[in-house]
Amino acid sequence: MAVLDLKGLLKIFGTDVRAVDEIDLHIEHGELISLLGPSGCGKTTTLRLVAGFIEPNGGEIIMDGETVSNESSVIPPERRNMSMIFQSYAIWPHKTVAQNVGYGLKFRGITGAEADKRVKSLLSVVQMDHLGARYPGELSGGQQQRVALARALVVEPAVLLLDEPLSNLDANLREEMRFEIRRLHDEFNITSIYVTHDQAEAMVTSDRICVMNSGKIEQVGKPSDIYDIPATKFVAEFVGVTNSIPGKISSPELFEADDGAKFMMNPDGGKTGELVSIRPHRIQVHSENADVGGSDAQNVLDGEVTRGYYFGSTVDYLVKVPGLNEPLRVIGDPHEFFGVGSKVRLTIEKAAVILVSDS
Amino acid sequence: MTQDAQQLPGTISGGEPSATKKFDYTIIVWVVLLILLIILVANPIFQLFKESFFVSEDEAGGFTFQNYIDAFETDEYYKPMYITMMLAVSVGSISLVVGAVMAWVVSRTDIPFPNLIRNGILASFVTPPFLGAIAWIFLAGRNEGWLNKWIRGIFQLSDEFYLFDIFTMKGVVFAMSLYTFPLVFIVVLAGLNNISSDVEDAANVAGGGTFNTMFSITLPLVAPSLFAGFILAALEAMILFGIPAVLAIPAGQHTMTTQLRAFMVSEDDLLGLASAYAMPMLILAIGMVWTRGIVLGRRGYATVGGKGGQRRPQKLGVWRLPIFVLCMVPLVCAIVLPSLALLTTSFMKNLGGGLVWSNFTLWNYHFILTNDAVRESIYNTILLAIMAATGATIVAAISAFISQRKLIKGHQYMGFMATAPIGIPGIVLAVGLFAAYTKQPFVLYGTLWIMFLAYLTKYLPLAYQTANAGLTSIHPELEESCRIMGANRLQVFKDVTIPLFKTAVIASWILVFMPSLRELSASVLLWTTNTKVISVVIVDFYEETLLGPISALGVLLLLITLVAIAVGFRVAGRDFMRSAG
Ligand SMILES: Nc1ncnc2c1ncn2[C@@H]1O[C@H](COP(=O)(O)OP(=O)(O)OP(=O)(O)O)[C@@H](O)[C@H]1O
Ligand SMILES: [Mg+2]
Repeated sequence: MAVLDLKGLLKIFGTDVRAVDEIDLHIEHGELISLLGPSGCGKTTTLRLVAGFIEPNGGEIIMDGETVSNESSVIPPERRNMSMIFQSYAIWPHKTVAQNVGYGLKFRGITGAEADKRVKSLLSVVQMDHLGARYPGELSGGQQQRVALARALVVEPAVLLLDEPLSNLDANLREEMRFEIRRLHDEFNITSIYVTHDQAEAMVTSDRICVMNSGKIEQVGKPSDIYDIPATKFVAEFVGVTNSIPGKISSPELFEADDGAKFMMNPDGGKTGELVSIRPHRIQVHSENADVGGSDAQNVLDGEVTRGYYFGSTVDYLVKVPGLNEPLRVIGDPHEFFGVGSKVRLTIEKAAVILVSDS
Repeated sequence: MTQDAQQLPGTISGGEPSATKKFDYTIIVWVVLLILLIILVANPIFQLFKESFFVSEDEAGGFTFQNYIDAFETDEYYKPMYITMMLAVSVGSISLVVGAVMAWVVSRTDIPFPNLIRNGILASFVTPPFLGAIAWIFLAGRNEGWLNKWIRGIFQLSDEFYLFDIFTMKGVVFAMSLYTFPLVFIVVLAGLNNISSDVEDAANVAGGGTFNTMFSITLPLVAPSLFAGFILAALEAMILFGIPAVLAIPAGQHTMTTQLRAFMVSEDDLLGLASAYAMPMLILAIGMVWTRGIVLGRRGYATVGGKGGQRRPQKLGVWRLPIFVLCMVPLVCAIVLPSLALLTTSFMKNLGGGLVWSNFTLWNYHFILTNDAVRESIYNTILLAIMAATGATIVAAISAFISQRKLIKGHQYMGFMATAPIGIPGIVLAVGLFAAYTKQPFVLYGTLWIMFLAYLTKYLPLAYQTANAGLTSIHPELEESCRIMGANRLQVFKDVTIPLFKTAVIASWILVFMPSLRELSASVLLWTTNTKVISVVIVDFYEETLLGPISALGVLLLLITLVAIAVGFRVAGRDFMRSAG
């Protein structure tokens, strides 16, 4: 187990590509943190910096109090006691499954019967015990992924790095392996960094999520915080769908949209910002003039349905509201369906209105 | 530098932290490679160029255009150019039709034994063209040719009658096409296999019939491959020396290659004239290779392993067998008949003597195995082939490695340098090497070294492409995962890189070794009494009409080649010949 600290970490490719732009991140013992962000935002680069494959142009990486990377010196990957799972699995095709898994042990002085025992036990953990003698060419994608997991875990690394480990699997398997990865993490409790651009994957697997955008960290937090109280417009929009409404704070806890509509906000949300974010399913739809009870805890708006798609379990509406430039996206309950042109009344809990900054 | 989205992670220039920053070993690598390139390519081509502007007899070394005027004004020298162009176009066209049709049949229809046809066509590279041409003299000579005799026998025709005459321009075209259509076949087959079956199915669904689909969808999509195949075949026809030497010269015709040799062996010093004469060939050849690269979009053999569903082969119905037989014809003509002809004649006392016991002899083998000159040539051939294969493979493996792993500054140019000789015809290269290394301070002429240089230059691109393709398939993450498991660079190299790269290296060695065994077009200009190789001896014997010993030597050559291929299959796997195309 290990504590990792990234301080002001900077990586510049060429002259001006700031792939990782002075990020700070603290990772606890036994924590699984995921780096989530769109393609090209610097996730892989961060991971490879941590692994020691590339050297930073600034800042440092500290592992258990010891600096393992900075601008002038980098401890090579083989001396970091880390494991990494690659997007391509990187299973050596000329070695059997058992040889693949056992490879790292010899560098840790574990050989012979003890090594065999560990390989066996790890293979059974990933449910591959019967396939030890196979060559990787004879395995399915999911099985190769399991080999990669076993190989990474057998050496009991201090840190486990995973670079989009599931992106090459098909949808069903991907879902299954998400839980598998979380299960293995709970079993071994290794400090882990998990790179993905799939928010559902990040939600399921991680203790904390670190959302990145163009080399910078947008927000770090528990999955529920990231989802419920996003800090920036980028986070709100990247992690699920949302309505972003531009405007300004008019008085404490009151937000005034550019076109006039007013919203009471969640007091736990951001304190400064240029937008509010409202998740579509946090908006309730009622019939026109419905008695929704006047309350300090919810916003009430009237509008007209301009689009309604029926999905069976939900209905996806666009509702035009006076005082808002853009129609609101609303995900409603299907038991009461409002057709296009219906007048409706919307209620939004105060807690669902989050002030975010527009960075 | 902007980031190339395709770039693999971990192949970043200057990305990997390196402990050896103190000394920039880049310089050494570059200097070595540069010297090599100068010796192998730049200097010979420069000397060729230079010689072409000097009158050879003129010791004063005056600058002149006279060589070019002589080369292109005289009818006698102009005619071979014309013939060569005609040959290139007709051989290219015939190969295109035969190769493309066969590729289509193999990839799109339910023809029986498609693999037999495919492998058979690949195997036709085994017979050296000049041997094939000689074998076809036995088969289709006007008077003594077995096929003619056989037909006369069947139909009771007079001795005057003949159906085939190999000593004609048609014969030359036929013999050449036998050895060039496989080039088209390979390129077009790869092109066809790259087309996702969905594309064609979509056209079928849209109501296009088989032939409609073929002409409106398939054909345009393989057009680049067709063009590339044509270019390859035409280029080969243009630079072949063996077949015209065997078949055209007796018919009283020269091609550019044979004319070039005539200049070089002339009593007079015609180096200047030869150099000028070689220029159009050089420029044309390089131009053709270049065009092919553009047309194919430099994609090489990047076959996308798409999920395209199973292809439904076209049903040939009653035509299945006839078409199969038709497809076997070129194979039989290129491999079976020539090999049989060589094998039988090698055991015959008298070529016209027929297949009777009294005509059986081992004398031909006895002769080639006891004759000192022949034995020396066998030794030279094998030695040279081993040297060339080893040299080319080492240079290729190192430069491919540097280029793929982006180990040094300027790694991008590595591939260009290693494949720079591509397209230089062997015989032109030989003239250049002759011009460069017969005079002080580098006198290599008369030694095996000059031939070594020729082979090395000629086959380096092939070796590089093979090694490079092999390395491309080793994902850098395979090495990185080894690293992070605890292995240092050296251990990674030993445990992952070498085992995975080994196959490509062996394949590249064999792919250079095999053609080196029968290299003719450069050797024929560079040999001297002590440095004869088998192919040169065969041409020599041919000029002395020692046909029996030729057959025996030919059989020996085929045997060595087959052994090399067998070894290749064993150690490098079934597909090692693939990169030959
Ligand atoms: N070797 C390199 N040379 C130059 N630029 C690079 C290199 N590697 C990455 N970059 C650039 O750095 C930025 C971050 O790349 P990185 O691979 O870390 O993205 P990522 O978040 O992992 O994206 P993806 O989700 O597509 O894997 C990108 O703009 C990329 O183009
Ligand atoms: Mg990435």
